[in-house]
Amino acid sequence: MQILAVDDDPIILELLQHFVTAFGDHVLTIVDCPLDALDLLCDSNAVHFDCFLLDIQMPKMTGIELVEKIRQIPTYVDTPVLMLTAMTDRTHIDAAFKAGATDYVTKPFEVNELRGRINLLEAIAVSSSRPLAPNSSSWSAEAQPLAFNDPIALHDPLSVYDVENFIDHAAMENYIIRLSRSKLFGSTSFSLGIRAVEMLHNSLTPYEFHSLIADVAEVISDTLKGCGFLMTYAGGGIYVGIADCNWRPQTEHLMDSINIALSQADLADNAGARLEIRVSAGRAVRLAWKASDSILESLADAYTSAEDACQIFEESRNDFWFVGKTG
Amino acid sequence: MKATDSTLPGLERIRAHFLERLATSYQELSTCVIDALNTANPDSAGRSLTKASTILHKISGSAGSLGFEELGDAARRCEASVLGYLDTSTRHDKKRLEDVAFNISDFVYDCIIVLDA
Repeated sequence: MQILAVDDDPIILELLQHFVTAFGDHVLTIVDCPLDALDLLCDSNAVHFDCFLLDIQMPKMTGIELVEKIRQIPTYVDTPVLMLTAMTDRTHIDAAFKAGATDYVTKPFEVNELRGRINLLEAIAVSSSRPLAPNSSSWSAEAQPLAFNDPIALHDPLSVYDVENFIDHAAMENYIIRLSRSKLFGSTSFSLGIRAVEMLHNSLTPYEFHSLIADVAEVISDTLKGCGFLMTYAGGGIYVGIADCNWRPQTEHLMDSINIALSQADLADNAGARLEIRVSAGRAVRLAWKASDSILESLADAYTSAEDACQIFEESRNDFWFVGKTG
Repeated sequence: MKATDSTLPGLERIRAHFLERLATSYQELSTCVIDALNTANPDSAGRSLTKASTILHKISGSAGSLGFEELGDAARRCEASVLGYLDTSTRHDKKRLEDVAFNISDFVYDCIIVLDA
């Protein structure tokens, strides 16, 4: 991989050069100023980078601000970013992931840990050739992959960009894994599923389906504005999220609020035909008493829970005697 | 990473650079402490301590990777005490300022021990 590392500490840059060289087969470019890094990225004659290693605390521009700028460059919307930081408080970690980071590693480095993370990022970089979910507010022609109308599987996670509080699925897994149990204490997993998503997937073009996923994400984000959470699209019409300890999602209220917003959102296909999109909510589960190794399972449980909720709703529509939510 | 990892030769050069910088850093920390204690202006003291926290942050971020784990941990604790002072509304508290200055002085002594080793 071609890797760009940005850190204002020359000792860190020396260490990275030393370690990455030892890993073999990667080419590392080091820059000690975020502004110089941006100049490099915007230079059409410069090499294209496959991965970024960024410090958080830097003068002139923080690593978090740098990630935001990098994500605005069309050729780097999906490039893996590993934050290198001694800032382990959740505020900084959350901000880094919200800005578009894929993973983080704490300083001081442990060389095998750094090697493992870079290997994971390499795997992500290889797989990131899959189509990206567009965002209507920021999608540009130059960023739209030529293969965008290639079919995608219903259960493929898609990346949603430029939607507040939404992060990549790989980043969400890393976020859960890296945050210590104590930092996740009091957090709540929650989920939402698009009803009748299979029918939508079958009837819409890939581009329309991509757009739908992004639009629903945007509605969710706008509806939950001010709430502390991170969310990802996990495939299959399911969005899973982690709410911080300051917000405890109320499932029924959450579903109703988002469905009201969706009904007002004027979602439509390319032919202009209105799409009546509604969601069902999975269970909200507090992570307080989860063992560390089962916290990641909470994402899978949230996914299944939303799937089940959607299925129950579909079954109830055909049940004449069912008395319950018609949402 | 442990500094004695024999699979990664060449760390000695980086370690030497770290120690060269440490020799400068602890003197800068001493200056920050003196400036903070000798000013009647809380904002000026805050600026001196902010500079100190930046120096401590850099040391804590790299020391452990070069075999100076204890020094890195000490830097992190010291940085936390400085940030705790800067984050609260107690900048006019002379006693708290003296406590922070004392912590930094202890850390300066740790640096001298490492450099003399």
